[in-house]
Amino acid sequence: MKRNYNIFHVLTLAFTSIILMIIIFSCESPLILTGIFIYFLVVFITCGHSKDIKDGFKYFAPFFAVTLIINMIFVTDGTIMLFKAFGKDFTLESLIVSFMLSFKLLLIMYLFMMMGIMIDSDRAVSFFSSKMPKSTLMMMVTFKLFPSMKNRLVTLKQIYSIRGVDFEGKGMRERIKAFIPILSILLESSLDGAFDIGEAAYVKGFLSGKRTVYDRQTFGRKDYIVTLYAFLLIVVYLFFRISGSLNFDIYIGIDVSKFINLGAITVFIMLLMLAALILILTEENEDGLHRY
Amino acid sequence: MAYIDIKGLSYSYPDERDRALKDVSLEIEKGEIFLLMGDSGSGKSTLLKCISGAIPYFYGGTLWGKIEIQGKAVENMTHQERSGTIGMIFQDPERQLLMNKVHREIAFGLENIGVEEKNIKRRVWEALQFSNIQDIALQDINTLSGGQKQRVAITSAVAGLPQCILLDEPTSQLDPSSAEEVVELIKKINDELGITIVVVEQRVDRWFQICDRIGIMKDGMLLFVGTREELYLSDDEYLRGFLPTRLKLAKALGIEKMPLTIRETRRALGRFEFRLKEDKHKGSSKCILSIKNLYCGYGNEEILRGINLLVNEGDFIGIFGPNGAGKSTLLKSIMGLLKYSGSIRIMDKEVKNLGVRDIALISGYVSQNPNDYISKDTVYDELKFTLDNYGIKDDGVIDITLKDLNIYELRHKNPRDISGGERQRVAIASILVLRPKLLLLDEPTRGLDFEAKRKLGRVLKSLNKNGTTIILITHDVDFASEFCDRFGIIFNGEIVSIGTREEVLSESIYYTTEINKLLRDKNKRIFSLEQALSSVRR
Amino acid sequence: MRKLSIYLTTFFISILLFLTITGKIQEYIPLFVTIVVLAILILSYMYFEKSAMGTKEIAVIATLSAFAGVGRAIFAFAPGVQPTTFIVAISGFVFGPYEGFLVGSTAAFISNIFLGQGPWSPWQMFGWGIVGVISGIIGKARANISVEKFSVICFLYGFLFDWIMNLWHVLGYIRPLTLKSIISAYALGLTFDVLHAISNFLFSMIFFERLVRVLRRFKRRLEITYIR
Repeated sequence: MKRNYNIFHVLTLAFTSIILMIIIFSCESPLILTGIFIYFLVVFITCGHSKDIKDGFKYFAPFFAVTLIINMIFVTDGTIMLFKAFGKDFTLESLIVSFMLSFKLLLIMYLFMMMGIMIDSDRAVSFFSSKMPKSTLMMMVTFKLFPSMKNRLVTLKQIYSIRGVDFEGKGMRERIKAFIPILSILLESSLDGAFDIGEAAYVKGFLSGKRTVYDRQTFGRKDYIVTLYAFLLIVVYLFFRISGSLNFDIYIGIDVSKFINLGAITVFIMLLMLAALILILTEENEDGLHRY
Repeated sequence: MAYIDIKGLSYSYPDERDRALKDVSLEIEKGEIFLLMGDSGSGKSTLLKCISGAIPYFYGGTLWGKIEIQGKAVENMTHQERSGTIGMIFQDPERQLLMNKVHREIAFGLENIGVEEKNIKRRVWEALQFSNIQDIALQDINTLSGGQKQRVAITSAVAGLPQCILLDEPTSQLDPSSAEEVVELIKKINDELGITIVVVEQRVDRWFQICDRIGIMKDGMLLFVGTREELYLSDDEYLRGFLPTRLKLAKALGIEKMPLTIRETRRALGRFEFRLKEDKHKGSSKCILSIKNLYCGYGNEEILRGINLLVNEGDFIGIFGPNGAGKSTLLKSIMGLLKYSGSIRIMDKEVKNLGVRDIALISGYVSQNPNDYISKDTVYDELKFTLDNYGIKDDGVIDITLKDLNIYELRHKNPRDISGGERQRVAIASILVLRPKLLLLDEPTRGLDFEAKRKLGRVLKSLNKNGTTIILITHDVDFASEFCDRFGIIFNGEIVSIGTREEVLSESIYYTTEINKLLRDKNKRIFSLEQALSSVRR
Repeated sequence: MRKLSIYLTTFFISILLFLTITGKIQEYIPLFVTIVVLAILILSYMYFEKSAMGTKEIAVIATLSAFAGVGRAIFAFAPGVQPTTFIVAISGFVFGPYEGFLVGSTAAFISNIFLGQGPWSPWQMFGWGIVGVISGIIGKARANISVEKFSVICFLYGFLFDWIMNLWHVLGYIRPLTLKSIISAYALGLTFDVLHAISNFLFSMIFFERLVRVLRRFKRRLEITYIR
């Protein structure tokens, strides 16, 4: 059954995401990164977004290639030689480091995709319009204009192809030149429209005084639970990190205790528990209601 | 004391010498529906903006005189007070909705005027119910039709429970059915909530029925204020031009007492007979456009479903149909802008096999929005632009075209500074300069006032007489009936009826002129005021 | 909101401090820079809330942002060839550095809703924002700059923007961060950068005078209709 993850407060999600981002950026322990990976998989699969796992790879592929190549070329340390090419040694260590960095990149991609799934745009708009009404209005107007401008451009392109403009001309210069009339018309008429939009907002009393909020978002019990847990996670992580038990430097030597130690295991388990926590909090009873 | 009290109001826009309003005095009573009319540029919208406070607080400029709402001068009201007292609806539904979802849009105004939070949700949903649009409450505004958007805009005004709602040409961008719904909704708002309504509109017929009093403006001055009966009894030719067609007929026939409803008009006309001479049809048999079994659509959505159409040289065809029936799609597919299956042949050439540039030389197309054609600084350059793109030298064809369209004297003017009707003709000229045999027009009369429409119609008619075949799609049956000679109706991507005026309009339940509806039981072949007057036997 | 953001910023800065104490400073540059970029973006929108700008400016900035954003979607004939950078530049040039920043970042954010958000989003917002700011400063200093000069600046924007965009990837995922590794990572994208720069130059040469005239006219309308 598909779960609905749109029930959390925007701030809860933002806070958790930044915590995860800090861990991804600053952590070298493969175990912890795997924990985060598992957490993402759980979320994607349980809310029916398994396709996103694949899509993430698609976005990731070009960056992955660059990451791998550059890192392989420039990381020269290491003792276990794999092969020699262009007068350079390629070591197992450099391969592992490159993979780790690429893996982090993938995790960051997933993090953004997960935010897209979990943030309910309607609730986000409610929240932001209560805190930042002007920016929210500006974003909303832009968001509304975008598709209609795009359609208008398509129509204009048709009209000007009838008027004899050649949009498939030779060379970049000609092609850009073909857009002279339609870009000018679009800019002019959209700016004309801007005055109407401004007037409509004015007449509707925007910025006329103290605002109230429709559908005010409340920071509920589940939000407190998740936020506190995420806070605990970062504290524990920092503790082990500072105590040095998470330092993972592959060039010093590959050693099992570097992979798996008390710190790494603790944070790993905490990440799994975060996934479990989210699952419990979003569990619906038979009536489709949330337990918390 | 009047509810809205305007005394000696004059106004000039910033940076402009001429006054847009000249010494206007007007009293509007609480709870009435006041209809304000006038040609474009007469100052009627400006007057509305003065009442809403957008003038001068948003637009600037200089204002003389006073406006009071319920005894309180507008300048002494705070912005929030004004927004809470007055709601406003604009012409273009696209440009007045600011949020993404319908319910949020309705809440937006309430948030701004500081309605208590516990009441907002309730007001939003009650307003939605009042307007009977709960079904679209959670939808994205981008997915709505123009008519739906306009009802959302009105609902959001109602939710604020204002004392007064101002409407600036609220139906001018809508098709007739949507326009009717908007009028009904406004009537309900006035009836049930007692909200004062001031509506500015060019098309009078619909609003005439529900309004209490009428004001008519010209050149920034208020020429007339009075009841419908007073307007009917007026001897002024110009003022009478604003009467609905049926009343123009009644007046011309010398009926003294204004028949209030259509039914009364029909009764009052009972003693008249209308006899029309048979008129001959000019017939050409040379086929210029032949469409067979045409299917066309966007993506997975099929819009045209098996269109068959034969157009002969010299035809002037008007095509009607509701929004989304496929009218515009039909024109675009003829121009080769869309992929289609079936066959479209212009002058015996299959459109599929031609490039857009080849088609444009034999068939011209003008879209709904004449502003799309304004890219140069003079009218002349606009036409030259098209010619240059085709590498054709101007051997006087520009001047001929300009004269054909009656805009020769505007040739050195900036097309941005001319009236809407003139701009429409410039748009047509910029296409017609290629001298196509066939001309396709998409709603050419949208937003034009009475006089501009008439001029456009005459110009098109003379073009047609000189050999240009014209197909136009329109919602304006009166206009089409006056100028076209063949008619078609499209429903659900099919042409359900095509033929002469008598074949199509006389049999129509919906798509016919007001005069025809009024007189069809006496004589089915009468469609216009002129016909009625010339055929009347007392 | 203000209080909240102060708390959050303090919180994250202290985390960063903790981290830097323990590790090599170089390792935390990426995290640090990312958070700085996010903070700049958030602060600039918060400043917008407090500014005197009203409904008219909101509408104009929104319109320009949508216009710039749509540019990305419509010019699909070659990667890097889009008028967005140029439109952001002239918006800043005519309306001012702060407005330019908002147009650039809003355009990036909204167009990414349609084209795909990702870790690049804040960087794109920042990159175009910076283009807007610089152009705004140029507009203030030299309002009658020649087309050629402005076009050269637009040419440079091609590199500036692309290089800012490269940062999120290079800083985060290239190790070790040496001059050599950074240069070669940048070299990989050079063809796109050059394409972007040239197209910017052409857009500016072809459109500058025409569009700036339109924008100036509207700016004037904004100004004369002001009653404060």
